[in-house]
Amino acid sequence: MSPVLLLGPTRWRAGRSPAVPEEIAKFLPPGWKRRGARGRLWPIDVRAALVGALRSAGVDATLMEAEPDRGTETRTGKFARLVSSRRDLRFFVFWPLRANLAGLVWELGHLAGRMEESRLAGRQVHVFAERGVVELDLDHDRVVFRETGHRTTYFEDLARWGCAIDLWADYEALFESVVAAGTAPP
Amino acid sequence: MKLEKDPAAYLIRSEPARRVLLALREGGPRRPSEVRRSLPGMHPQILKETVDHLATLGLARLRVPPGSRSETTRRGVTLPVILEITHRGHAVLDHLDHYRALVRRDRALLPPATVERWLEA
Repeated sequence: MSPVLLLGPTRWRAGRSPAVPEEIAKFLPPGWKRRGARGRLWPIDVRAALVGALRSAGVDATLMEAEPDRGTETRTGKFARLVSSRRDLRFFVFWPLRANLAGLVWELGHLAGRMEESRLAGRQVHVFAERGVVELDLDHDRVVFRETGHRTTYFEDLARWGCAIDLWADYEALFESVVAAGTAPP
Repeated sequence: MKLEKDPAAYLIRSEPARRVLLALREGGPRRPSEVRRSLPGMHPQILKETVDHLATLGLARLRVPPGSRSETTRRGVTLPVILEITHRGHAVLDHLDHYRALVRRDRALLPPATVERWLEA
């Protein structure tokens, strides 16, 4: 199974703190320090738990924040190193409602740049979108990412790369879908 | 729409869901309009809700084909999409065939709660 880099937001939008079931904390990798305050889990904690669930299923998975920095390496340099580290690396995108998307947009932007340079051509991008992030427009054979007011340039680039989109309505379904996709044959 | 969480129980109860998933399995990945044309008589709103539910249960998946062109409107970013059945969708359909064989053998019509218990066993 090809390795997975789990992308997605780090924190919720200001004033928003959706309830994330505490049960998923059992998947957090050993030594992971939860970022969420007052017992809440942040999106980055969910991503770490998804990485743990994938590892439990035998998939080599990671997220950028869990990888150690190298010397004076910049954030951009670290991201570039990780995405170039394996030729068969897949990109899974955790996309919940009510999250601060600045980090995700930054990651998608760098991915877009590398795709444009054909350095990552043919890589698998798999989006796991919470119900409500996207809306089906079956009359026009389209799907609408309802993230108005944000920098949507990189969402548009998804179209050129091609990507799979799984929807989820609760965290149990999210974990099932991510593990199923991670362990599915190519 | 109330979401039913058990994929097999949902498929047993919902004829539209079975029809859509079978259409995807037999016809392969295709545009939603092609799915609709292959299912005459299915109301567009029923189809939309069914696809949404199948996708949320991980039985079907949306895919943006490589090389697609997008469009940004006030509603958001729109991307062309095709539908495809997932590995789980195949597995659950196969499971349903097995369940139906059991029902035919026993000549029993079981209440849904019993069916769910069977499927969970």
